Amino acid sequence: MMNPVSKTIILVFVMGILGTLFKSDIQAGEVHPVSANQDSAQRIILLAPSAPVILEFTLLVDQSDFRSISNDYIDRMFTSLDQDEDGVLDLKELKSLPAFGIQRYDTGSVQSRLKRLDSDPVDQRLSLKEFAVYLHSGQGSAFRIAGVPSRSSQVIELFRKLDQDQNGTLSDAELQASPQTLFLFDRDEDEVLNLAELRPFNSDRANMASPNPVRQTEVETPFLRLDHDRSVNKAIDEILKKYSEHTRSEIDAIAISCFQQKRQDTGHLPESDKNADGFLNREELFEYLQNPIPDVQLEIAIPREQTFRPQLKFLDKTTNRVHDVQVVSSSKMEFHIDGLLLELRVKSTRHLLADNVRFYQTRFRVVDGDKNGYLTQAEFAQLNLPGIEYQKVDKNKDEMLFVEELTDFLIKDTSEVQNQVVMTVANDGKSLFEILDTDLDRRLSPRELQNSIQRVKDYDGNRDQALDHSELKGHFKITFELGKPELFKFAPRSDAMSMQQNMLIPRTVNGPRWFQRMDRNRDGDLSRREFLFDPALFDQYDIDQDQLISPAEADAIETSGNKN
Amino acid sequence: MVNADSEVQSKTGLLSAQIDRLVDEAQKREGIIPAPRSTDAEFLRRVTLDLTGKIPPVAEVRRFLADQSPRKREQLVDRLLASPGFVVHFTNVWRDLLLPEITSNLQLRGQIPEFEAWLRSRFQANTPYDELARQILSTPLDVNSQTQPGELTQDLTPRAYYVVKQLKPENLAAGTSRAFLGVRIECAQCHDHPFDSWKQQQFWEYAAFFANIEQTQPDQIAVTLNLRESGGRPQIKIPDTNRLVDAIFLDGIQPEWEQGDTAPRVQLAEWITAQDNPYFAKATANRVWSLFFGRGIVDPVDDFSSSNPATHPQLLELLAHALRKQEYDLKFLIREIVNSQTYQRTSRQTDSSQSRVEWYGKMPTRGLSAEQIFANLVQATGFFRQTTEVDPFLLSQGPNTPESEMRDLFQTDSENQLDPRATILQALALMNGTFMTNATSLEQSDVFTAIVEFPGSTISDKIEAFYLCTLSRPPSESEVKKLNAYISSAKTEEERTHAYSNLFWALLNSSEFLLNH
Repeated sequence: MMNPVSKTIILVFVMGILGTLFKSDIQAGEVHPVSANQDSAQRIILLAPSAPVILEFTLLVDQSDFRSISNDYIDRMFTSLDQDEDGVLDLKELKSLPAFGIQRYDTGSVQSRLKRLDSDPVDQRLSLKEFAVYLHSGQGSAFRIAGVPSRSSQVIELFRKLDQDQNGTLSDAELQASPQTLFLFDRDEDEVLNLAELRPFNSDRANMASPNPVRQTEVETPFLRLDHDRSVNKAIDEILKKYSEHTRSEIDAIAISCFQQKRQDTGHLPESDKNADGFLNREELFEYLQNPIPDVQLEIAIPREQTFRPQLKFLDKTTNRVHDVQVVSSSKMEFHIDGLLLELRVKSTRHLLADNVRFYQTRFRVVDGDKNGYLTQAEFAQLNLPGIEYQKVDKNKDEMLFVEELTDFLIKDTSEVQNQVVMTVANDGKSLFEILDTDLDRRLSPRELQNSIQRVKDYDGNRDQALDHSELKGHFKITFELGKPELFKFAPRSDAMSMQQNMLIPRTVNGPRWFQRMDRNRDGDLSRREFLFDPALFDQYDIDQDQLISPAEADAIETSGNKN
Repeated sequence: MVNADSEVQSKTGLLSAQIDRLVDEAQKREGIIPAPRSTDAEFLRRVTLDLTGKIPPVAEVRRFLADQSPRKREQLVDRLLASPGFVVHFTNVWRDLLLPEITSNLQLRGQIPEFEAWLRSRFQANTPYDELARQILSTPLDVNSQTQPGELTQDLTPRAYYVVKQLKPENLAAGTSRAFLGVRIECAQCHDHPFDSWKQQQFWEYAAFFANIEQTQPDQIAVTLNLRESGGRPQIKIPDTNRLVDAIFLDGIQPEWEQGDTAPRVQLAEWITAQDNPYFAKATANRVWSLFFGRGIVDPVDDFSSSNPATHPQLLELLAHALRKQEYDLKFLIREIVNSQTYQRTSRQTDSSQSRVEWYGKMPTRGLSAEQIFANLVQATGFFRQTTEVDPFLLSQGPNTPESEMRDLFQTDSENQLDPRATILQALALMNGTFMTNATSLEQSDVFTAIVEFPGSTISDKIEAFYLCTLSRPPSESEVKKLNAYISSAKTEEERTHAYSNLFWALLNSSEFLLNH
């Protein structure tokens, strides 16, 4: 028989276990985040091949709405409005509140505007956090989508170069015209286009003088933001351009059915069609996109100053176009949207603040050549702080930069950078260049460009005789994290690709030796420009009249020559 | 085989005809007997070299010679002006003109890629030349403009122009005055110009436009991204004196420095490219002219002075006026020059009066730049070469690549294209170097093997192919006859191959191949 003390101990122990069971969603090291106001969720539209998809992310940073993070600019603006300096903006002070480009917040009386913005806490006043939410929403500054190339062939943006009418799709006519369109890029006039010729100027290389690249190349993605009015209007432009099979250009509208595909419940969508014509014109679309029905809802929690593991939760989906949802871990998941695979993860970069500061503190000691404990302007230049001037860091302007001043600046600067949530989108799908480069020599030859229409047919998912970005890129890797200091941004493996490009292309191996040697650009064919003899002979030997002599056609010349 | 076209009036016509009229008038005055019109092959080679920096491919030679159209020369010019070769070649030409320092300073070569990319983008867009000059003169010097937190951007700029000149006002003054105004005022840097009217004070007043650029440690210039420039009225102290001078334009006019005024370099850019600037249009027209004739109407091209008058002042005035009227469209001026009969004269001397080169009695024979020589060797021999990511620090002295070898051998600082002299080293490299040996061997060469082994071709066909590859012309009847006999005299296949190899080698080493004529 147990004594009372033991019982108490066991009871407490059992209660503890039961308590843990009831709170099973709390895991070691994690804090259960407070859900944010639905209105403050970040919405994205994905221009998927057959129809748009709305993704809604509830983004929390340190348990709070990601937009509630303040910065210098917001602080200053708040202070300028807070006439009585009581730390909140009341109705009277809100009369001076500027408009920032979100219709639903900017229109109406001051009372109605306050009502919309006053969310947490609801107290008829605007706190700094609520004010920050408003400003960030208006400027779209708390969130950014960054398309990052993972390979050099994506950097060159061949798609955009060929898209002559800039409508976001490549028609057969545009593909057929590709040799003429790309003509001026052929700097060495060898009739093949390699990555170096197609690639925008590589500023990393140019900054040989600076070890830090000053540009991180970004590429287009089919993901667009839906926050302030500007972004919504941009999305509308893209939707109307892309889904031409659903649009009626004479009324500049898109069929409502485009948004209803495989949807379990259309919700308030039909109500958006004010004139009940089955189409959403710009105005109706604008209103709908202020509060669209999300197709997918996710919750993302990122630590900044607090300590917890980043979290990614799948909340809900309202369409069968989203399928095969797999939760890989608490911060990783993947699912399909139509034929596209999306891999998502959330990363914590909170440690980068300390890492960044520590790195430069160490560098400080190295570049302080005369070891006098401070940096002159010349010594500061060796720190290679990207884009930062000495005068900005030397707070007291005494031309002696001590490590404390540097540390203060770095903490502030890094904090500013981390005020933003960045959704990085990298694609592992094939780029247009890779699709066309059938012989994998990292160059586009005349024959490959000739065959471009045929090659891309397999990728035309919606069979509209045109190719768009999302049809190309079938596999997205998406990362959510706070903005990173420049030091920790890595360019794609472009230098590795550069080296590969500089490697010699081997001679053609097919066909007779004279053919191999006459093929001076080593693309496996002889063009008219390469042919050294009478052009009438070229016409004779080019049996299929495709303006190229192939190895087989060259062999035929040999054979007929031997017979004669 | 010689095939000369009949005289054809230029389509664009008016300026070309005026050029010819003024040149003819001067020739009559000086008693110059002009040479006849060039053959088609001569013209094709010359204009392709001048507009794209290399000889034409064989297929282009054949096509052009077979074309019977009376306007084929004009059409050829238009094609070449629209080609990527034109963009690349003129980028090289203008890079050398604006950044002559980089050939000798390895550390500064890191500036080349961006500057070239910037220049290339301008030529690709056919940016008017005055706009190009303005962009160079007034480019912002700090690289970074922050657009979003954590993101930095850098657009292409001609900033390298300043870095290469070490930000020094005196260097920038000398460079810009030569390049854009055609005057060598740097001789007045230390004292009044010995031969011209420039005073030392004038030099420093002009240099003062660059005085607001903050000087950086010499070893930091290339690495510093933020070059700063202070505002306000610029002044500069004349070295070794106590005199402080204000920025004043070369014509003595003082700029207006109002509050919130335009930056000094922007003011300078506006003055240089202004319609009434007495130097810019003429200096530009003169320089463009010199690219095609080996000498300027004022020669040297950057030495406009009272002691160096123009040979054809009316012609220079005409070209400058036309350039201004066409809003500094360089392609327009180039087109008119190369479509003129003056440009299209043969380079064969048919009268002794033609040796006086300044009267354009015949087309002068000109040297080729190192880049052109290598490009021609590549074209002629089939040496495999493609555009690559450029690492400027690989363009160093020493035998790294055939290209750098050739550049080192043939690089010249000489301003005089009309008197090219080969050095012994150059001759030896061409005669016996690895590049040439490989180019003329069956095992290594591309073009050589392709010609020799092409099935069904006769000896005459092969001889013709070799001539077209190298000299961009068919062989004459007597050449065919002699060479046929030579090749046919070979007893075995191996000897015959050797004979072809000798022919190819001889053509590649000929002065006809190595010169622009």
